[in-house]
Amino acid sequence: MQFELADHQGDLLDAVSTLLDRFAGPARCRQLGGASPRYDSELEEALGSAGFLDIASDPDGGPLDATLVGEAVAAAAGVLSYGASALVAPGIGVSGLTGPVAMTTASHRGPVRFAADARTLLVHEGERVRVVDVDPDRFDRVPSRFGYPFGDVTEIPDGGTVLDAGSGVRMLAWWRLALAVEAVGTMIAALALTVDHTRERKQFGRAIGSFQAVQHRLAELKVLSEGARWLVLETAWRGAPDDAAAIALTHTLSAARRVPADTHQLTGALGFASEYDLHLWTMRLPALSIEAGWLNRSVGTAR
Amino acid sequence: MEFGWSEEDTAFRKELRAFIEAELDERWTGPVRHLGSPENVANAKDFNRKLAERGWLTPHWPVEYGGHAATPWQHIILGEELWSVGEPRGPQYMNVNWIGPSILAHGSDEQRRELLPPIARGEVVWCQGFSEPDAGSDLASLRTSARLDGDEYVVSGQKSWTSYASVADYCYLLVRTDQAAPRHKGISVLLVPTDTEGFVISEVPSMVGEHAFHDLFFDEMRVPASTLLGPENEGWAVVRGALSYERVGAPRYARALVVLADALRWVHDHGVELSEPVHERVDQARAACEAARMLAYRVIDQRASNLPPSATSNLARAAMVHAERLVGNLVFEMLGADALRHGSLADESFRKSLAAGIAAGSYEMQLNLVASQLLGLPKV
Repeated sequence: MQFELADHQGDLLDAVSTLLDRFAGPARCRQLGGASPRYDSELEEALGSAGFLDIASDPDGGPLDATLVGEAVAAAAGVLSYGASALVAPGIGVSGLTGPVAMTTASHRGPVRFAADARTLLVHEGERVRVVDVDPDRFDRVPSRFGYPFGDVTEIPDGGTVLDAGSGVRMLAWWRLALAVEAVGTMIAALALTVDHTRERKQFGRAIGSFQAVQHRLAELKVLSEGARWLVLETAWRGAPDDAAAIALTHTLSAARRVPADTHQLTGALGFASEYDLHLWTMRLPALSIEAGWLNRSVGTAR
Repeated sequence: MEFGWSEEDTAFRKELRAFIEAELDERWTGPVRHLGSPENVANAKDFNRKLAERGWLTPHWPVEYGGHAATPWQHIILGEELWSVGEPRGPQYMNVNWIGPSILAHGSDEQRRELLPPIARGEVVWCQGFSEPDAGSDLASLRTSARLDGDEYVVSGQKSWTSYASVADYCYLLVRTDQAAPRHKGISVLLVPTDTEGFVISEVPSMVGEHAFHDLFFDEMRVPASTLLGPENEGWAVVRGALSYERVGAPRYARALVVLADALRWVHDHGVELSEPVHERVDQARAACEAARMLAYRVIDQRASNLPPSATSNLARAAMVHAERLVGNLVFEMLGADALRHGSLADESFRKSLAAGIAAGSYEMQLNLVASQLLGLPKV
């Protein structure tokens, strides 16, 4: 067991960080529409050309490396279907996808992340997965302020390729992991911004981060989010076994449910301002939590 | 970064499980998981001797002091496996986890030779004289004094809430040796036999369990100056190192997972249908235990890499407290009215979970240290 990054992982994260500095980040997200963003095809193109979308199946990489990149993409408020493309598709043995990938279940109807832009729809149908090519604009764009572009999946298109009988279970595990990766990167960014704010913001003649009531809330978020992060990384390293993925997502969501209220509370009115970055991350967390709910209804929770 | 166990560690866990299966007295395998209450000390000593014969009581210690020079990973494997069967080492886990390592790090050659082998053989019990009536979370305000008189220290004062004192052979005693120094200076550690004349032990009845707590009284107790551990007046640094071991030395998440599994078995055996919200909370509690496990592993990884103790141990400890509290509260809802029976799984786990946030430094102190050292927030 080794918690420090291996040399190649350090190099990988340096490279991805350089790319994200240029193509992603809160300013870019705001340019795309902030909490109601357009899909970031340029970022997707840049990550794809650099090989970052294929790391999970790269013999020199693997799911853990893809997870480390996914966490960084989420922390940089990237607007793309990284988890579906770089973790779930390789996890169910689907390769060669280009463009946005959306994921849904056979029974879900309503808003689906990235469906309005998707070229591919991965449909969880019990034991199996159906991979459907879709035309862009197949699904109407859903007006929403929950951090991602959504498409209204009112019906599941016919056709496509049906995968083997074990693919459904594998998709759920990788989907859970992908959701957890996205949530971990998102909440760690929200927490870091809030910690910075409480160090700078002075009231009653002192930094509000020096008050114990404030410190304990932040420390508890740190305990929860760090625990979630290591569970997620371990699960990725183990290749997303069902039970581990469910546990990692469960703990991640326990943490994620506290983050919007606590970080906004500690940031005060400033946190609501469109020009302030916090909402770019906090508004995404409920969307991830809702999506996780479809998975629970499909299979029952981890037990 | 990778999260695999070495072949050696996997083999160790397997062998250890077989040993536990074969050797564990049935008194430890009932529905109630005891944390080695003093009445079980004799059982614990038996079990420890068997562990020690295989070098498994102190596997991570140097060979010359009765260990195997094993990695810290085998130490946490031992902790996990033994806590999940009710910690049959009893109070021994303190000796093995931090008192021994602390003597190893700061003791004189003579102290090491005299004090470590009996610990490695599982023959002795130690208690820790830390808290006082006016020094709990604020440990550095301790007042028990020790004044050097010739080649003896003369100790006066009171210690509180000392676990296992009535069955202990030695006490790891924190005293103030310089009254004039700033409060973090002037503290020293004395390694005191509990049969020293003037070492007075008084039991404090409590809701945690019989004989769990004691007051210690010292009125001009005389101990040889050679009982001093580390440099005089620099005990705070010595004890801080010891405490960082203490925080993850007891993998309470392993015990909490077993309590949860026992409660689920009870629910199944009694044909009880849990509601969906309770099922969700079972998942959340289990996930919180697993998160605590990963945070504890992170501390072990740092130790295995010979990095100095850091606030990651506070993070791990806070996560363990959080997980154990979730389990402690949940078991009531799983067992319903049967939880109220004396000695029920819920009765036991609830009391233990209440104590989790106090032992080894209060939960609030852990959060303070996470805030200042990991988040970089200003001092309160």
